[in-house]
Amino acid sequence: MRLEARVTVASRGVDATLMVDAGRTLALLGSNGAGKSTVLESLAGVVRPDRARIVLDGRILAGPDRRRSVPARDRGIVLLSQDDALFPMSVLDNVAFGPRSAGRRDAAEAARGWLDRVGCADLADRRPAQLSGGQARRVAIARALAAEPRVLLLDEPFAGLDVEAASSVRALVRELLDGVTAIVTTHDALDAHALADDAAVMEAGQVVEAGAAADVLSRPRSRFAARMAGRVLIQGTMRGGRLVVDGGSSIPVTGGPGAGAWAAIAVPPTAIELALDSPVSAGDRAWVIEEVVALEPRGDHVRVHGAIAAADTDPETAVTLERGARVWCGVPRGLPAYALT
Amino acid sequence: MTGPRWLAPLAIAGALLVVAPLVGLLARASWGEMWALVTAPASLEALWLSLRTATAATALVVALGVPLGFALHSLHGRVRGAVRAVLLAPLVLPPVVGGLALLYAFGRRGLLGGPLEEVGVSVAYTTAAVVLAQAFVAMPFMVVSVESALATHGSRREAIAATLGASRTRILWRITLPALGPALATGAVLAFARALGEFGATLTFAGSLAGVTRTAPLEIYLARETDPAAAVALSIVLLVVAIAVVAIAYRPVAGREAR
Repeated sequence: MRLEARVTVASRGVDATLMVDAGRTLALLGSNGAGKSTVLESLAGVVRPDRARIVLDGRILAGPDRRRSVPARDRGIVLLSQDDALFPMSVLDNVAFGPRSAGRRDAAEAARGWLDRVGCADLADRRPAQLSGGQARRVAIARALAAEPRVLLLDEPFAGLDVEAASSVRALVRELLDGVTAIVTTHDALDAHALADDAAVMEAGQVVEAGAAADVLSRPRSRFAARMAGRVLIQGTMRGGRLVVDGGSSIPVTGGPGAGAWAAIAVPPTAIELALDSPVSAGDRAWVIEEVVALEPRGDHVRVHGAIAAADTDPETAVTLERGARVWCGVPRGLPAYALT
Repeated sequence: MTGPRWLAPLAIAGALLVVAPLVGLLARASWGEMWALVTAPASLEALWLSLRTATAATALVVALGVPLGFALHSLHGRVRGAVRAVLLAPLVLPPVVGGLALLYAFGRRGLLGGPLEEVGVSVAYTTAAVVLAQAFVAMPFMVVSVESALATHGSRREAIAATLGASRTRILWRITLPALGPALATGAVLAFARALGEFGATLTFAGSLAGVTRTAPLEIYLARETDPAAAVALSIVLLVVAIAVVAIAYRPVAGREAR
């Protein structure tokens, strides 16, 4: 059961190609507005793309050689949307909706089974308005799975939940996705790591990187993908075991391609140290001279973005900085380098 | 928000215009004979006929007006505007004009009435004609209710239901119609009230045969000179029904599910 798709929705600037193998989970990473939801809605048949080629397990669901694409109800692709979209009926009827639509006589029983699996067996008689955010999300998950989808699409499954609910729903989803062919959209690298086998990065409507999740997240090939993976991409030219970056600073690395090749290391910003004056001794770090490009407030700390690297600092230090100020970024030595081509 | 003070006297004048006639009607009622007047054979017959025809007309309006509202909603741009204008015409048309139009459509020599007559179906001057006339004038209430409810309804849940494997029919019955419930109820109640009060089109198209087409409004019109007390008594019955209907149709919507 392999899903291959290319969808184009001109009005939303989306032209994306992606692929998921049977039983695997693909994380679709991207910032808000990158077109992730549009891609999922196109796959499910909720949105009609301008052009599409969607093939599920050899069966063409949409394509140029088909006059009419297969309607949503016959695709076997279930969309779990961010807004839950529970129906104005009891929780049990919501979950039994899919099985009943398929004409199953044991729909209520099946629904009870799924409610039990998501830990909401006691909510069967409630109405959607009587549920908390976390409960509603669990019910929506049960409803989606009860329909026995061939492919399950989860659009930001933890968005809009408070921290506690999000973490319990996260654990539930991780358990339930095992062996299910699924696509999960997220803007959180951690979720991609925890849930997905594969990852694809979307930027401005296009899939810019795709591959095994571990590869994409630990060896991103573009600054954007690195940012989605929660890392800083430091790019440069290899020279004798060192990565030489713009401005002439060089960082000792391990591995990487031969001398003269374009390469990179992907560093978590938290691992980079910030100094306002030239460091007295280099220590175990390679220091890169930087000019501040942007200051990004992130709750209790501020991320200082330079032209090459980025590092976190406390707000008190950050207020003394401004655009163009000179700083030093201390990058750990010996990180694994990889070729960029 | 409170408006400027000078609105107040105008508001009082407006209220007077509406309330004074109603009070005038109540003042003329002979309350002691009320029950006897309302239960007199002619009155009862007219009321019973009104109740039956208005109920049948409401059923017809629900059965046909809801699909019509959906169809109207599915149209776009100018076409929708034009079609809406035609469908809502009975709302503003003088009822007597409506009656005349019905006569030329369903009457003995009418457009559809002629062929119907040949197969032995006669509509004009029957109880069925009363129902048709009432449905004609009441239909717009349902069409407008359904169309405007659909406009604000969105199609999110319908789309999700489709991905869960539901057919369009199942989505209509289980998702869309329940969500439109309040609008359907309002439309039906208003249509029923309009049907109950229908006079001009009925008189023109169905005539005034006691027990067959003489509904309560027609009975009031006929009785107003021969038996004013009975006319007033029947009028008060219709007034009470009208106020009850408005109270039901425009009650504040409470407990509707937000999500």
